[in-house]
Amino acid sequence: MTATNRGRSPTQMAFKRLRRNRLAMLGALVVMMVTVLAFFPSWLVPSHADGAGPYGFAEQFRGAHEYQQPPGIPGHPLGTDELGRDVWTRIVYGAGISLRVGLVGTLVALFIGLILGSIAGFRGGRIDTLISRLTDTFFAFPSLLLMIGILAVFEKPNEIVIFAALGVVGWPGVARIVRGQVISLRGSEFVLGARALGQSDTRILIGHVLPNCLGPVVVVSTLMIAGNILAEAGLSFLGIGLPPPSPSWGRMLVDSKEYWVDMPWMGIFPGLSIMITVLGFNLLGDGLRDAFDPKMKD
Amino acid sequence: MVSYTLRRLLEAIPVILLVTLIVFLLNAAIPGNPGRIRLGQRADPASVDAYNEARGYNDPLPVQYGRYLWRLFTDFDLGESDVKAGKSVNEILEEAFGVTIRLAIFSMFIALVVGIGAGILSAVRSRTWIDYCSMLVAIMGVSMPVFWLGILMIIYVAPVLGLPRTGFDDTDAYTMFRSLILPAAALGLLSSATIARLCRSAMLDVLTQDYIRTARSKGLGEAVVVLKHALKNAAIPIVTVVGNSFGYLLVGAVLTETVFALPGLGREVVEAIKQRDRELITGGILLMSFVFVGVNLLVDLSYAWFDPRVRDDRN
Repeated sequence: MTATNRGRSPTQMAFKRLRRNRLAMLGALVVMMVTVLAFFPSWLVPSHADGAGPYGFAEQFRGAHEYQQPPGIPGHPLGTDELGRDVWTRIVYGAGISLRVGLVGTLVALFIGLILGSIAGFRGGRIDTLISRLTDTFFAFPSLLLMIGILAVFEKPNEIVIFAALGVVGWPGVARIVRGQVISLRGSEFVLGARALGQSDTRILIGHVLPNCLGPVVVVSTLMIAGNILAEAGLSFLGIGLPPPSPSWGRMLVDSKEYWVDMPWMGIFPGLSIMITVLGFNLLGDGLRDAFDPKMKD
Repeated sequence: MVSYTLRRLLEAIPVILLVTLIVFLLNAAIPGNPGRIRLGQRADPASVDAYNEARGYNDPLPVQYGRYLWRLFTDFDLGESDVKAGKSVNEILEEAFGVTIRLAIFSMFIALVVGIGAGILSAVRSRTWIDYCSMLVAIMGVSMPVFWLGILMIIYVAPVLGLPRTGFDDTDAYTMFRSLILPAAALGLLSSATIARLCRSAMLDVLTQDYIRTARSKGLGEAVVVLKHALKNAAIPIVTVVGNSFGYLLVGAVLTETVFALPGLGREVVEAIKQRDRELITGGILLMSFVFVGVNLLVDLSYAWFDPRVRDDRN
């Protein structure tokens, strides 16, 4: 190790590059805001869920004069929807769904993809061929259609089913990247060193190889969260995702289908929320990719 | 090239077989008794059972899978719809796929023109406001759900241009064009975002190379340098992303059809799910997957065609 690099790991240098990237920081800000909405919805909207849980919207039903009202009437900054529910309240609670689906769906994909990808890359040979063919097969499906097929199996899909479907569709992307990384690291000197010390394969893989795959995995996960949020919105929009009255943003759009033209706020704000959230994760993911790309130097 | 093509075709066989297996298993896992769905709630159990027996729904799964494969590979028979009386899945999908493929091709055209145009412009005017603006629009496009852009177009664009808001009218070419233009624009503009981002980075890589400087120093005009010398060599990554976007377009078409109420494949499959019409659901998924595999194969082959290093077996 040379003196100039002392005290700064490649990861620290990457984060330094990331902090200088204004668009990525904007993305991080959006991600933080959505996280706050998701975890502390009651900070932003008046409590309305008395005894009925966060999805019980009984409290939001108001008098007839508050049905289908445009943004700006007192107490309803973004207007009310076809059933008189406050659009802003539903968007705030929808953030929780989007974030959960985005994160957990990605974690499921990471779990499967990391295991299969690292086994394929580390072992090579027949098991690699087998796993690679399986990966190719899942890539052969248009992802949305495969998810539609999986959801068709369930009478009433809940969030767990959506997590699983996103994981099933997402793992091949992770596996392919991890496999490539593991293959390129397999023959490196620190792996040979660990092997010379008599460490077991599992220990080499978990202790030495996988930590060095972290950069690309973080990048692909961030972008995958964005993709998962879009996918959930799409499935709910098709009417086969989360059933009503869940305030999923895609669901809000499709439920207000007949009102888009005359009462556009019902069709605008949920979509805007999807776009801003996904944009935040995409900007952050792009920034991470630039920061972790070894071709870019300080 | 021939041996590379053959090898890729051979590699596709196990993938296609596994795809059919997964689709078959999905089909078997979809709940609901096909005879009951077809004959109605009031049908007597004996005739429901006879229906299922005649169609082989009572056979062991491996037998059913064998028969499924046989029907599929002898005459691409996807079975009979459980809900639409007497109609074969092939018939239904053929009609619907016609709409979807038209939408996809029309959007691809828009995506290519806008995407490659914006990509080249950003690369040539790199680090100017044109570049920053078009890349900002591009990343917003990547993040925007296609159905939401569709909704915005229905609210704001359709009345201004006097276009029909939703629905599909194929009485003649003109009405069909009118009913497809907004969906195709929504889908195509979003795909152009990905193409523009990739085209920009591919062009930037090429534009800094020595032979471009040579071409300029020979006194060639900027248009010739950019369009003839640079674009040709930036074509490989662009072709890949175009092929991949076509797959994305087919998927996006499913969502776009729902927004604009077009009678395409996506809408058929979604309707089929609501009615538990299992042959139609899995038939649609299988058809789309085969198209997807075919497009990806073509992308790989074109990649090898453009870049001889790809088809070299030693790599």
